[in-house]
Amino acid sequence: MFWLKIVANFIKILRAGQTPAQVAGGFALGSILGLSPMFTLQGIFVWLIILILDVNLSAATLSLTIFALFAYIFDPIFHQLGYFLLVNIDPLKGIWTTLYNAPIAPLTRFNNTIVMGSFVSALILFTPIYFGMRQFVVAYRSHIGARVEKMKIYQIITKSWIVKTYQRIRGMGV
Amino acid sequence: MRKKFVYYALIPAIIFFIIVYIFIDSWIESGFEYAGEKIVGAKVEIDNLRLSINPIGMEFSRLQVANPNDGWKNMFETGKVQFALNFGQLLRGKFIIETMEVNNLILGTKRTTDGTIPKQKEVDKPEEESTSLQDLATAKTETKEEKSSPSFDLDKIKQNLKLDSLLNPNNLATLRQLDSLKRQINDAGMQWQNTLSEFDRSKSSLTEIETKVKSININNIKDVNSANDALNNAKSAINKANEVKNSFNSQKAVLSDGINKFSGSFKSIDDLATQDFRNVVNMARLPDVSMKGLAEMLLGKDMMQTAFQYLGYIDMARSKIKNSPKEPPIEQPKRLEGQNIHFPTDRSYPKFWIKKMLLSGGTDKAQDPQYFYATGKILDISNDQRITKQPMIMDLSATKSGSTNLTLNATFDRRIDPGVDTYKAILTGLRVDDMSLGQSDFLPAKVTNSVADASIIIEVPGSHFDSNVKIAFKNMNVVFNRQPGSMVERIVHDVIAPLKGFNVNLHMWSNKDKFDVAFATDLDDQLATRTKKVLGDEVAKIQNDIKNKLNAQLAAKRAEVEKLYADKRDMVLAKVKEQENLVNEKLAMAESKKKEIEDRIEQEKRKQLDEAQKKLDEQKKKAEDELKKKAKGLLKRF
Repeated sequence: MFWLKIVANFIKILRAGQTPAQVAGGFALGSILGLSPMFTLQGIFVWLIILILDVNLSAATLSLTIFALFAYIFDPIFHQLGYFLLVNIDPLKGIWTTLYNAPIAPLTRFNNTIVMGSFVSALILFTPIYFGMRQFVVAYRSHIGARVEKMKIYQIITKSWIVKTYQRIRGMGV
Repeated sequence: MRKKFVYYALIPAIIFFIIVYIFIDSWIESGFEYAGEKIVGAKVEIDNLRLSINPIGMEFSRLQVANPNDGWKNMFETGKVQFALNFGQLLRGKFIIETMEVNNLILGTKRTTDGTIPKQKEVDKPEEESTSLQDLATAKTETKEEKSSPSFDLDKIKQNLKLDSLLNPNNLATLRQLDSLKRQINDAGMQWQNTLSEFDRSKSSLTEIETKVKSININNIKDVNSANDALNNAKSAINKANEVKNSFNSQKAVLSDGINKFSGSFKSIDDLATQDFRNVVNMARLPDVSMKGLAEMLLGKDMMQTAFQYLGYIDMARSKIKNSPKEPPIEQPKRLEGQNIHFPTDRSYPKFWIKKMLLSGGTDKAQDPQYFYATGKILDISNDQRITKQPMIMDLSATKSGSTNLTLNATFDRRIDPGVDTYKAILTGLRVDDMSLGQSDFLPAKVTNSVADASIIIEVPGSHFDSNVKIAFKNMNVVFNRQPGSMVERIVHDVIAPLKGFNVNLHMWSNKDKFDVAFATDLDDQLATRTKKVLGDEVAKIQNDIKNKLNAQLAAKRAEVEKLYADKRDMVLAKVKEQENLVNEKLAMAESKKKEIEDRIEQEKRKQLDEAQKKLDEQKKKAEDELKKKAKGLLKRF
């Protein structure tokens, strides 16, 4: 039900509320967390950015979940990309060696192929995800939303007893 | 910036840090205890662990590590332990400790609670054959325990001695060998007979040669042609005789080899007979007057059980101190785990390294006389010796009640594969108040008020193991639980009772899954001398009886086989000799005839030459006469 609530909140925010930039920012930052392994120094740093910046938390959480699934699927590609960056590009080896010998940097586990590959992928995808999401929010608010609400499937889902029961339970004690 | 940042981030962060600050000590304490229990296999208890920030480090007031073999005792316990972590390396995710101070290290203290951890049942794991030294050693002891004490009741032995049954032909390898030899001689005899029948066939050839030679009549040689014919016949007879001789020589060689082979077999019968005698003596269960192994039976059980307990610690060191991990090959890693790529480092550090651990036995306080108080140092405890390039070195000295001293030097080298562990320990002044001797059914006794000195050297290269333990017992007093019963017990009693000390050498070694123990003591010689004095003559007499009867039984059979062999051999040799003479005779006859012919030819040649010369002279004279006649006529005319 927690995830249902997040989806509901997200749909609500898509309609109105926070600005498209805030929603897209939360979604793009959440994608970094979702694609990269969680327990790294840079993961904590991204969480702090999400908490400090006024971005949408529901969008971040939803994005984290979606992109974590992507991360599982694309794991071999991240491994190959990370291996390529760490091993096959000679000009970068000096940087990696310096970081490897520096304090704190090893705590980021940058020398792990999955960490490196997924983090670099997340950084590359950050901009398209951000702008794509912002465009989507604007479009949703202007015309997609109304069209979706008219769709039969939307009507069936919203009028289904599961959703009504959920809404009733949610409303209890309020 | 989020307007309510303080609610979203700051307050949760502060709450998080407060919780961490309050509970981190107990979390780390529990973590260490859990990790320690996993390693040791018994309870590990840490009291009052506290983290310090400046310098970043840790201290705790007490550490108890229970003995996995005896839950009511600690392997060791310590007083205050403190150490500081290298902050620079901590930021690199490495736990480097320059010096760790361990105070009041006491070995083998008693516990107030049971320190054993119930072993979890490992489901779905096939049972593997244990290669732990302790298990192998215990298995070895169990098989040894089946050995019973020797019986020296000579009357009983004589009564039970059933020589007919012991000398049953089925038990004697010599008889079996003689039977087999007899069969072989008979088989060989048939082959020899076949070869000899070939001699008979060759006799017709020899007769032919003889006839041919005799048919050559020297007197019939009148001219060159008849001489050549006779010579050719003689040469042909010689060739034929040589062919027969060559064939005979090869047959003779085969026969000689066969005959000589059996004479070698008869020599090996003597060795077999000696072995049979030993077997029969063993089956007769006659006492071994050398008394070899009796001292082991007397002393070994208690001593070895103690030694085997310590093998558990060697097993633990062997299995828990791991070989350094090697660089992982480039391969597909597990999902979501990735592969760590390592880069050159200015100075490498392993993940965990205690460079120096200083141990103090707490000499500043009153010491309990029943425990060992240890001081010393342990160097280079790390998770990767290939990086530190240093083996782990333990250098300890311990004292107990001021009179017992222990020094222990151990090295655990995991820089090479397989790792090598070495231990050198010297123990002096160890009080032995209650060590059992003998067995419940054989002279049960106890050693009391003794003092022992021991030196121990152990090497554990990989899965191999070799240890030498030398123990010298002094000031010994033996208390026997009952009066000696049998003769052996009386002998052993008489030897041991006045003893004040003895030396023991315990050698234990294993090669992968084979464990062996050699137990030697100077008691063996004393026991043997005494036993020989009492029993030697009697036992020797019984042994002689057995030997005589065995020899008589074997001699009859041997004589039978030897006669068979001799008959066959003599028959063959006689035939060979006869054939040899015959062949040589015919060959000589042919050669003699050839010589005669050649002489005749020579004689005929000379005769013809003389006749030719004579004719030439006559013609010459005739010509001269005519010439003279003509010359005279001419002169007359003039």
